[in-house]
Amino acid sequence: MNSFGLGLRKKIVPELLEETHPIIDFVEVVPENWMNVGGYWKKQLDQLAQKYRFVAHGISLSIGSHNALNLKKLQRIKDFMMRYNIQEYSEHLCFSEYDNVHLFELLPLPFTKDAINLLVNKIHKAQDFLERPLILENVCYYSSVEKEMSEADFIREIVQRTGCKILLDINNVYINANNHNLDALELLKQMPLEAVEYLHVAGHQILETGFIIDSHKQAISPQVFQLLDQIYPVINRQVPILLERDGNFNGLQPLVNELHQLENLVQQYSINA
Amino acid sequence: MPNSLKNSNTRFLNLCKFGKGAAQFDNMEVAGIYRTMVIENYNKLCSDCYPLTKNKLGETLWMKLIIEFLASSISTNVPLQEFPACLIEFEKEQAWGFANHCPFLLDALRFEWTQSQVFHALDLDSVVADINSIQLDQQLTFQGIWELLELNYTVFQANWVYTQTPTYLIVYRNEQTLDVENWSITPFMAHLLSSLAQHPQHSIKSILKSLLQQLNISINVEIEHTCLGFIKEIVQKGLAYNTLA
Repeated sequence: MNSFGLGLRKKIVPELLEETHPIIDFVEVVPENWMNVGGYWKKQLDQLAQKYRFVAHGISLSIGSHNALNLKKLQRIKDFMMRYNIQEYSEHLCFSEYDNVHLFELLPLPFTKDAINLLVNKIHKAQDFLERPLILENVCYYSSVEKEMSEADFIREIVQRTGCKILLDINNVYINANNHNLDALELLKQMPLEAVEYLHVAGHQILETGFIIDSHKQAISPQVFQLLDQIYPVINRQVPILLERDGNFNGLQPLVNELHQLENLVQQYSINA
Repeated sequence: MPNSLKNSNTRFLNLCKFGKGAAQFDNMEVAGIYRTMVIENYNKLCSDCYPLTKNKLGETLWMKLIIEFLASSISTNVPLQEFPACLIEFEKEQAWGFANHCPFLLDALRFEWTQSQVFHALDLDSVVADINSIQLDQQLTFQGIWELLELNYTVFQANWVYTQTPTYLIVYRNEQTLDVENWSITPFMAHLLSSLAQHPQHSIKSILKSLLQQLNISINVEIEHTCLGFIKEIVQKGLAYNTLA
């Protein structure tokens, strides 16, 4: 059986608690939004934890920052994971903080050797501290980034040197391919697919110029569905798929419908697996 | 290229924080997307915490505030939930509100931030007290989630006006409903509350007497009755409980 998850957002909490949709096997929780919270939202989260399996998806570790790893932040995340019995912790292969400034954006990294060296060091420290492998997500880059190698080679070397896992965001690969005139399927095939822990899919916004922004405010595009359809058999094993949605909510049902679409898509391969 | 990561981080920082150096990117227009996204993130995080303040300032002035806050030297590398408080630090340091003809800004931010903090605060165990057993010769132990605010502008009402004497407001969490409620109290009761918090080993009555002495007022039955009523209300709201002196 394949498994499907949904990114937890406050707007869908009431329906997640009231309704039962067997297709939702797990819920992806952003620890930063829920750590050290009491009162109403703590009560909601505790109830959700009774009903769904949680995975943690961080947004502010900034593993790609030149700053030292923030162990206080990691400790809070570790405590949160322990409290809710969370086994998996994913983050983004990006940077978002610089010295005393937090930009709250997933900013891209240069695909260079010295960046890898620094990342490998920080990933090892984070993994040792958390006592589990990090699961790192590929992000979008809108302008070109400095590169001595391809994104896939960059990620592959990090995986090989740290043993970290990959959260492969199909939508992000599609966006990067579109915005930089690359072949999305080829980009995906070059990724270290053997290290993929789970997949992200989401909607995106197409600007008038044809440029695409990773907005998460729309339904999954047909192109991303098609890409998933092409890469899933190449991965050649069952990997969980998570749907992200950050805006333009119209209740839980449309998201559940999208999860069923994903299920239908991958079921053909599950049957043959 | 031994410092490619730091160089890249710096390029993005200058672009996103100050709008500088877009020409260093291969496509200036596309690079601008990053700055737009960071401004929007700052805007969203602050708007979520300060909806009344944003509404009062209006979109144009609010965005001016956000952009200048982003460009400031105020540290924002704090846990996500504490980030909105950085805007208060900015206001304290820059007095941006006075410079931009909205002198109520600091009070408005403090009020909304306090409401948010009280709403989200970690749960605490509490003692249920019998209000009928309360006597002024007892001690008061504070509990629950609440903050005492001193405000010069009535930012907790629909009409924000300056008041000659400060308004004192208890912002507390109703643990039955988990909603945040505001309770306006007199300056004297605010001082009594602060003194009780500072001297938990003293009885309510001794603190009351001491405060009255400073005002050259003798304690009488009417004052005692009023204070006892106030203390009972505090206990009823779950903000304190009485113990024997």
